[in-house]
Amino acid sequence: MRKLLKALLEAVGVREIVEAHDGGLAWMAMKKDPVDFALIDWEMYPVDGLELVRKIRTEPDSPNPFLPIIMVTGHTERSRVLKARDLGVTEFLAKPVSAQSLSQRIEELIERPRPYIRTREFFGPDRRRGRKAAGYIGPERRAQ
Amino acid sequence: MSQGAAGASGKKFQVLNPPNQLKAKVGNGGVDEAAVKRMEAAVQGLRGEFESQAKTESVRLAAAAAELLREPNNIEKRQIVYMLAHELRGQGGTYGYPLITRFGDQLCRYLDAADFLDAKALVVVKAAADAIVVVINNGVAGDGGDIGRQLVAMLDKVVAQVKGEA
Repeated sequence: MRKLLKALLEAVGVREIVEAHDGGLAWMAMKKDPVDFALIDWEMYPVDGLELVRKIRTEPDSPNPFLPIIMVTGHTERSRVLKARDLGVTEFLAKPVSAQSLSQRIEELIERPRPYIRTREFFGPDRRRGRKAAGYIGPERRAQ
Repeated sequence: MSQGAAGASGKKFQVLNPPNQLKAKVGNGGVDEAAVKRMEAAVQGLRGEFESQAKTESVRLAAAAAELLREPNNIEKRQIVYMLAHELRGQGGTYGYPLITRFGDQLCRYLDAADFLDAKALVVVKAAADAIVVVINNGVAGDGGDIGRQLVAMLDKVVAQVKGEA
């Protein structure tokens, strides 16, 4: 999977790519050399993708809590998507990955970045997107 | 940065707008059509490698499934089958083999949902693993035509039967 993602990123024009086998190695790599965005696979061992996202968003020594993150996963059940979103994932890329699907997610990161929200329980990209965010009229839960 | 207060709780949230560093680096235009075409070509360039790797993985999957049949509630053996199927489902569709993804997904979801693997559950595990192996060994691309339809029907029937009997 890493080979595929690397080839796709190179094709889109990304010149410097740092690879890591698991979340722990990725964390060390990005602390050494800050990155512009991250493609993170949910399934990694011993440190999985969710743990890496949590560290990036919330650890005091995070190299960049605002790092745009694309979570790549075969787990597309709603509960799993919500779990990843609630940890601060920016975009969700379901496997099988295609040129089209990855390019769309990268486009989102570049052209339509969302503000970040910080509450007592959450830090990450606004979970309300586009018109839903602008016209939200439900109960205010952010500060609860 | 802006802050908001909510109702009687008076607790606050912050809205932060960090600089768009990606945009600053890549400029206007985003990902154009030519870039997408280059990405598609990159996928095609890796297809042969995937096909070869998938054959190796299918042998491992068949062996792992056979071991799991012998020790159905060995967590480690179950995890090996799961990870092999998970990896195959994640890549099959990318390279034009959606049936690998479909059957791999059925196997993973079944293992996700089953607390214990009884004799009936093992029928599904074996059927799904067999279906993946058949697709890979026969290079069944796309919807697979007649073979593909037969495999889909066979696995769906096995899953339905097992669920019906449960």
